Amino acid sequence: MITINLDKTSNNYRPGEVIAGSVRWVDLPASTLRIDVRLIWYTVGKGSRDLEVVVNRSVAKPAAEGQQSFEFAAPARPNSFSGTLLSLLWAIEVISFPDQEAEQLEISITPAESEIVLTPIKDRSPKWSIFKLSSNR
Amino acid sequence: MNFVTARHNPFATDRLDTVPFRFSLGDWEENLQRLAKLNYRAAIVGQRGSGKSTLLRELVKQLPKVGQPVSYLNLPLEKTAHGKLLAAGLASAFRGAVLLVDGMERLSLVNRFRIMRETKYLPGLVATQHRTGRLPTWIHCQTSVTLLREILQDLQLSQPEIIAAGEQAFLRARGNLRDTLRELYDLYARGEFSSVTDRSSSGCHRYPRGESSNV
Repeated sequence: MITINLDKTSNNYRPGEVIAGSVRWVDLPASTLRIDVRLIWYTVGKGSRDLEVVVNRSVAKPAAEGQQSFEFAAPARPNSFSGTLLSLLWAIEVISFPDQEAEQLEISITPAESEIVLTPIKDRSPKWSIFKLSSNR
Repeated sequence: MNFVTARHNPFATDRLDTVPFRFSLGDWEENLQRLAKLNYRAAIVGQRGSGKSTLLRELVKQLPKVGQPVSYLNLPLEKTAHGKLLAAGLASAFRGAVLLVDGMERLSLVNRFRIMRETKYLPGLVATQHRTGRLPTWIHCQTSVTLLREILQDLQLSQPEIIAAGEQAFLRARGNLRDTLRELYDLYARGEFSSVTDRSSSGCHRYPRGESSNV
């Protein structure tokens, strides 16, 4: 079993801030070759999904039980955001190989207090409304 | 405005990908046996949005379990890259993999002829296509309102208003399940289902854990 803990109580980080925490594992099979601790972002929504591994730290030949601390600098972009069509999410992901047992902890990286929420607006074709021939402008 | 963000939309692609393919006859074991009898040389036939690609993606996971390595080829609509993709797919097949081709009809006649000829003495070729052709049909994918209801049930969305909207969308899409679910995504995003109160029930682990290992 793998667990991820962050040093900070909140999961919100600003770009450049240090994302520090630790990974603890117990009962790993003896066949485990390595554990990867990754900082990733991915998208969810209506269309096809996207994923990027931004930083990858490996722990080679881990014991059945152990702990490892990690530190990543929060990248400047892309920012965490959510709209109706697409959400971009950041996460710390830990995977053991070759079994691929994995654990994930979602975080948000934005200059704001929490993820940016894109609010839908009514499309009133503003470009053409400029040329509207009416006195109600 | 009562809109729902993508991460909380139960019709998002990552949620739909968790819904298993349903065979109209038999289970995975029986259908894999039937595929083996066809020498792994067969077609998945069906109209647009009937689940052909879903079945092929599940086959990517199932065949290695019975000791058949696979090479998966997803052909884009844009034909310019087909030659290179085909060469890479065939190279894998020559190393002993069954070639799985999504979108066989997107290939030009010349490339279709090439793939049929060059895979003739290889471990296998399973391709999705809209109509029956030279490959024997392994599975004929068909959609129905009952299937739509089962999918909604899998997604834990059995509220009458969602089912009713789904059935109307299904008729408009002429049986195309992909388009039906996309329309339901839009309706859900606009907050048009009043009976759904807990819009954040989907949790935060949205990406299949460990999938980054494939990157």
